[in-house]
Amino acid sequence: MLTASVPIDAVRADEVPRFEDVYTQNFEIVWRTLRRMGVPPSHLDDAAQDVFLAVHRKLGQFEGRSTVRTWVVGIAIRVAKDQRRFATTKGKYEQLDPSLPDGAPGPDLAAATSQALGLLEELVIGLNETHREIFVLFELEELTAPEISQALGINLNTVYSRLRLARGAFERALEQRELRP
Amino acid sequence: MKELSTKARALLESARLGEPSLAAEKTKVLEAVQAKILAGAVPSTAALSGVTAAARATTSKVALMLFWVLGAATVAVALTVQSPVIAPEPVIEAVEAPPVVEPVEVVIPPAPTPTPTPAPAPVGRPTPRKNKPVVVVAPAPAAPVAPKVDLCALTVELRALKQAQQQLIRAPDKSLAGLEDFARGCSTGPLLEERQATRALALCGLGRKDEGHAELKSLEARFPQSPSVARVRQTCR
Repeated sequence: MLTASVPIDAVRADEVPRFEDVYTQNFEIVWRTLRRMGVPPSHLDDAAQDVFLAVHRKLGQFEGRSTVRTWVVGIAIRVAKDQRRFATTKGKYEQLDPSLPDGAPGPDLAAATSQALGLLEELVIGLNETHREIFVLFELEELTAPEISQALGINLNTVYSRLRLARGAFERALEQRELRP
Repeated sequence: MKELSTKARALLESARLGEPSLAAEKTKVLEAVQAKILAGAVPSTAALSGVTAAARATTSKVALMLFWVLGAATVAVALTVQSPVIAPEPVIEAVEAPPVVEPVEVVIPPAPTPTPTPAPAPVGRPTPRKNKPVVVVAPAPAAPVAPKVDLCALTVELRALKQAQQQLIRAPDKSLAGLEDFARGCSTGPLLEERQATRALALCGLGRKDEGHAELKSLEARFPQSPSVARVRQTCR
């Protein structure tokens, strides 16, 4: 959600964006991306801090070759991967519980949307990492393919090809989930 | 390319509606990030692999404590905080020299209550290092890597918001007064959305529903996507 009064991606290429604006305008997408990339709820706080500390440290070097959002999302993806790698090598993470996504909707939200969110997170977490990052960025965060190409540092054709595979994997997972009693 | 099926698309749309508000997390993480920036300990993201979850949790808590203690005790000082207090053993190899905020001038206005107290040593730690935790002075050196961040405004705004939120239930009048005090000196800021929502809730809590609804309208106009809009509307009915 973009909430700040200054549209940060409208800054000129030779201007350095303010950290506060970057934070305000990108916190939600960072948090959701970390969560959907499989960072467990108990580590989301620390992971988000790492993302924005890195943003703060590197902001002076931001060259405006991509949008700020793309740049920040790229950092979030890398932090999520680091976290998962660390988890895999150390075996420290608890088992992900996709039925209880962090910040799961409370009782005041409609049961249907709550169930949908739970199911979606379950299906997304079930995708492999390559498919998941493309699916999350394109289908859920609505980044464009060129933006994803910049954020992940991969070829545009690769983005499209991975997106096709990711959609297929997601559809299959959805079908299988529906067959389950 | 083959599009997603209608069923999958409907699931995505429904899930989007169920996304929870992240306002509390947004404030909390910002506090922790600012505390770490103030403390000069900016770990590289690649350093995650050398850090245990426990050590990192401790880092956050201690840094946050330092942040609030400094905030409460300091009257218009320029300070440079070095990292010893928050450096847990396993992290050291991962922590870069603090190039970014070295030294940043932070002017923190007087806090409403207590007298200055020294920062307590972290619980369960051996003796703290002899380094002075806080060093006053230091003119800004040349060529910082990152741009200067207006820490003062953000720090003060954070404190005002946090205090207003804490007082919302028991003392909405104080909550409102605090927010208005801040707004007199600074009408905008990165936490404006949260401040407006809190102000609307405080007004409604005081029975001034017309004003609360006016604030809600203003919030909605400025931040139409804000998850706080629904919450305030429900509370102010």
